[in-house]
Amino acid sequence: VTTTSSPHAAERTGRHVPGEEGLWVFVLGDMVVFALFFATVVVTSVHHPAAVSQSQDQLHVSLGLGNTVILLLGSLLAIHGTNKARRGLAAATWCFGATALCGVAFAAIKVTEYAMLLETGVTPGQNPFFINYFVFTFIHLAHLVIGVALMVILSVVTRAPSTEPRRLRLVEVGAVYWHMVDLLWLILFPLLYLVRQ
Amino acid sequence: MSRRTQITCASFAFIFPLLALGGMLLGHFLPPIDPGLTADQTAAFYREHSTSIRAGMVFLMFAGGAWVPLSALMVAHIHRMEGGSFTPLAWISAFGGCLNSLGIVLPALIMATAAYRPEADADVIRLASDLGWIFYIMNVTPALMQAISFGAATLNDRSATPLFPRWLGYFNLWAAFAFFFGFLVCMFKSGPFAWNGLLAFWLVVVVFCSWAMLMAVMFIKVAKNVEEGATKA
Repeated sequence: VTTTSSPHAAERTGRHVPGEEGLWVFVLGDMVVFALFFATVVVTSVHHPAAVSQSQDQLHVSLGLGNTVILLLGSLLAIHGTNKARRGLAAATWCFGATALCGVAFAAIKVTEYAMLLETGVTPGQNPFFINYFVFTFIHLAHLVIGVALMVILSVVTRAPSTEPRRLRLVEVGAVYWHMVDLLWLILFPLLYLVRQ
Repeated sequence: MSRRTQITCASFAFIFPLLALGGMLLGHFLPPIDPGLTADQTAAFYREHSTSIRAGMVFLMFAGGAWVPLSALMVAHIHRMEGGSFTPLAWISAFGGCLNSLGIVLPALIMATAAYRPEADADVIRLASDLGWIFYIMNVTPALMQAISFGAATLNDRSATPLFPRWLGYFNLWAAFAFFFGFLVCMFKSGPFAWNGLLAFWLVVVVFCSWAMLMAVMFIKVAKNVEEGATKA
């Protein structure tokens, strides 16, 4: 138990689980549920090929792509922040703050996209594709909001330089969660926007 | 709390799925009735299975009661982990446990009502059926309250030797995420988010029963330590 809760002790042994072992129960479980979402998207496009490709034409691929870049940028900043926090540098606080801003930008673009779709007369229950699109991207967005909250917390707790193990663990838990949200979008985006029947 | 009481309370987690799933099987509710059926088709289903639905709903109602002892044990553990007498998470869990029990009892009563008068109008029978199913599946907040409060208490346990592993806290947070999708059933009549769908029904049922039984196993494992801790104090 002590090796997992103290990253420095674990580094010496060469085996360090990012965050803590228990966190991965959540991360892997979450990804299993999202795997069901992905399967649902694929099954829908097999059963309703015409409705799906027609609906896909109404999506804004450029906005989805922009959001992908923003999330990846956020992940890069989170990595920088984690490295700085591990060395006990106060600069970590800016990295996590910037990651949170990336999340806010993602959410703003996503909400704009919803508004643009609804304005053109699309409704969430219109056909199976749009049900999937709205429900799954909204659940992803809810994950992202939690990620932004975590980044704000990390930004606050890393203001003062310190390498206290409990704080480092919190930093790693937040960073792992952010990467998970990023990774899920990296699969959701091509499945919904790009993959054609 | 004596070890025997703890184990008895925890054991209800194994009786619960027997009563709940057994009652639903008996009532021809596994898999659930299709929400896309017409009023006449729905009414025909309730008329044909009138007796077995009412019998099944008796079991489902008692499943709601069987949920209480396990919930009480969760509350007691959260109370212990929070320490002292100022324990808001334990209260959240207690309210969640009450509401969750009611959230199982109430739909059982409503669906028994739907099957009570086979001669009633088809529209009336379908309304009662819809009420029962939407009450049953859409009402996810009590389970979220129970899982999140336990997860938060486990991850915030600052005692020198916590009884529960930290992964159990994370597992509870994940379970809350898996329970979440039930709320969508009022939006859909087919697909994964309808009340007979993969994500709103099957995922929730499987995770809910597994979560209850996992919690029971963990509670039984630590029952001895809790009893010793209590006698020491």
